[in-house]
Amino acid sequence: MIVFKSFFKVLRNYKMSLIMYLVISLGVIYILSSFNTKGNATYYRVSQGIAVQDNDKSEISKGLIEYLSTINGIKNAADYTDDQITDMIYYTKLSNRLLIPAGFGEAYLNGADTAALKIESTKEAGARMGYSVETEIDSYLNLLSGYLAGGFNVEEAQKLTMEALADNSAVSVVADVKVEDDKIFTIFQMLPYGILTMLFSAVLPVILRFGSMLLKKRSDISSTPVLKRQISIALAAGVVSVFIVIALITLASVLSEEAFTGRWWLIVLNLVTLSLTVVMLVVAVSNLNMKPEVSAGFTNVVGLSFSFLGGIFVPIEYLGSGAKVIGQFLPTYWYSEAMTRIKTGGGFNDILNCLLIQLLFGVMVMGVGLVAGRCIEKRTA
Amino acid sequence: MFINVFKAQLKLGFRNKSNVFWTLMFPIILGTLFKITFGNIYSEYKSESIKTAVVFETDNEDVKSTTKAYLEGLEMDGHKMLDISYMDYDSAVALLKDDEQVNGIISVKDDGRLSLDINSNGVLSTIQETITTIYNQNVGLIEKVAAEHPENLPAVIQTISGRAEYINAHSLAGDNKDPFVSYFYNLLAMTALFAALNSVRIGNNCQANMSTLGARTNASPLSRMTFQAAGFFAAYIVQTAIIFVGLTYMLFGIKINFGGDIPLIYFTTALASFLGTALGFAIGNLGSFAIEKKESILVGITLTGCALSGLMYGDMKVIITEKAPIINKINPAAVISDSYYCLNMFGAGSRYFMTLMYMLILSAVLIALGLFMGRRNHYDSI
Repeated sequence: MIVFKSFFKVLRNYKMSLIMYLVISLGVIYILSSFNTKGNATYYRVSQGIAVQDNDKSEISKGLIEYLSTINGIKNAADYTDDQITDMIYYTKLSNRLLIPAGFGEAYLNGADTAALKIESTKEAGARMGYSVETEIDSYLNLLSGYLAGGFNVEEAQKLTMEALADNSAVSVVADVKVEDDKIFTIFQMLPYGILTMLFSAVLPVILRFGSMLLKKRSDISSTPVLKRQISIALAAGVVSVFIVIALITLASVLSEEAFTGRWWLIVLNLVTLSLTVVMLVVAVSNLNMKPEVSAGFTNVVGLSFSFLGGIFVPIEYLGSGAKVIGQFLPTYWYSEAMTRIKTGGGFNDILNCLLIQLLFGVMVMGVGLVAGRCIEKRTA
Repeated sequence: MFINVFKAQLKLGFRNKSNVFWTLMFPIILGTLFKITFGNIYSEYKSESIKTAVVFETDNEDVKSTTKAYLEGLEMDGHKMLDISYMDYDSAVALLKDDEQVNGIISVKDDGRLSLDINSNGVLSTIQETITTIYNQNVGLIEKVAAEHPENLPAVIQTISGRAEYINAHSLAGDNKDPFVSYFYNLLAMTALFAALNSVRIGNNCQANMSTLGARTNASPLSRMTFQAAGFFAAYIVQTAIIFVGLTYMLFGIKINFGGDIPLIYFTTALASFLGTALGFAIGNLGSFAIEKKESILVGITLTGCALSGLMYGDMKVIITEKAPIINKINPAAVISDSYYCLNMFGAGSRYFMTLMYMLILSAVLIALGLFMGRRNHYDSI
């Protein structure tokens, strides 16, 4: 019991790390959850951000902006500086900056050569999003000019063009698997970073402190048997881990406004499996006779690399082939894979192999860690 | 005396193996992993012709040739918009479902209309849908005009066949427009701020009640200011040397294109390291408590700052700029990563020099804070 209690006394020194990683994880989760995407069950047009400066203010330019706003998010370019707009295009918050020159509408209606009066579109030349918006503009203006040439007045032609372009009944989604991308997936997808960093920054250094040479020698001559001491440390580490996991699951469930549904249980099972694997990883690392001070650096490297390569921060489908190959050796990759399967309607049997691979990783790493630890101990004895 | 202390502190800095190891390993390990993770994303995200399967569900040769001419004639910025393969529907569906080897199937119907099958939503599907819809709506336009204003039909057909372009496209200025390079900026910012872990000890090393070295320093005739200045510059040189090795690995080892002039990238990194050292100096002089706690505060500031500047989620910085721009002005990680970004996108212009000024001002404030707090410590007289 003394060792068990001491664990928590030492843990108090690391409460700041715990709070810090909890705040970082929840902050990122909160911001990401506000950008939730839709599923793929039905077709929808991908919305882009566009900064528009309308120097024309004609019926034509207003109609064009109205049409673009039915698909995209329009921002008034005058509200931002040039540098801010460049920043937003670079960081893909905007796809285009559009400048509609004065006299554009009149030239368009007169059928004049619009070469001198084109809409200026600035975009990241390589990005597809910018082309998408430019295609929408050209399509709208070409169809509108067709209706105008057909004898309809501007108001009628704009109405007919809007109605015509809003009709996407010719598109059908043929995917066998329909993805429903709800908030719960975005939020739980990010949790492994919190689990990894909190366990590595709080539990690992405490275990390492108990294993430090001086403390170990003093413990060895105490009346507490080694086995009892190790069980107490393991129990205390387990209690801390369970508390962290429960706290994160509770917060994530509150944020996603979903709990105790069928898929919630599967997601929680996936997270608990990953947490167990991370605990085994912590046990393995704690056997490597490292100094407690290195745990901060270790936490950073493990937290970030496991998260990036495991598809926690960036979806797996975006990763390069090299990253995917390396990622398959990490438990976070199989956590993400299980999340994808749950997202596409998979049940327990569909995610079972993902859970087993995570556990296998943990058992293997822990085994290697224990053997390495014994070798190190023999060498230093 | 300054030189003696400086030399001793320099040795201390280089012999702090744990600190040297981690500061060097961050850019090397994480830089390599970032390179593996983000290396191909931008090239796939860039605009290319969209792989499209076209299926003719009609034997009408006029319809076939008209749609063929329309689809093959679509261009954007000098390259074909669609990369078309003609095949039967079953083969096309197989390709669409097999890891999306084509992005969509355009079927040409008997009535001259087009339909589109896609596997998932996205920018490419939206472009294909716009192409399909506009073609169908041109058919609808002709039907409508033929019914209501038949006299205008030739004019309408002429308008459709002479499809005009209304866009004058410009490319965003800048050297490397890959948004994923910002992860490397933030990684370098984190490494630079971890320079603080080397300078944080200076504060404790001149407080008599915090370390044995502090007691000996206080007992010596050496002025506290000299000790602190020598310690600060030694820590700065150690950290700058380490971070330069990491930067060289990123620039020439894994060939990350930061954008901008390479000497200026090194200059910016040297200033970033100065800011990191200043941060550690300020925290080191913050009150009389254990160095481990001060290190925890530093790691907290660094990681929170890096998270807010986009280390975990690249768009975070621009979100903060929109919602609370002041945070990006005082967040050292954001200031550092912004300086690399400005050098890349705007060159060595006013905005870049502004970020350098921010770094210098922040550093000056932190050093002044450290000196002020460091000289306020008094001990009971015996």
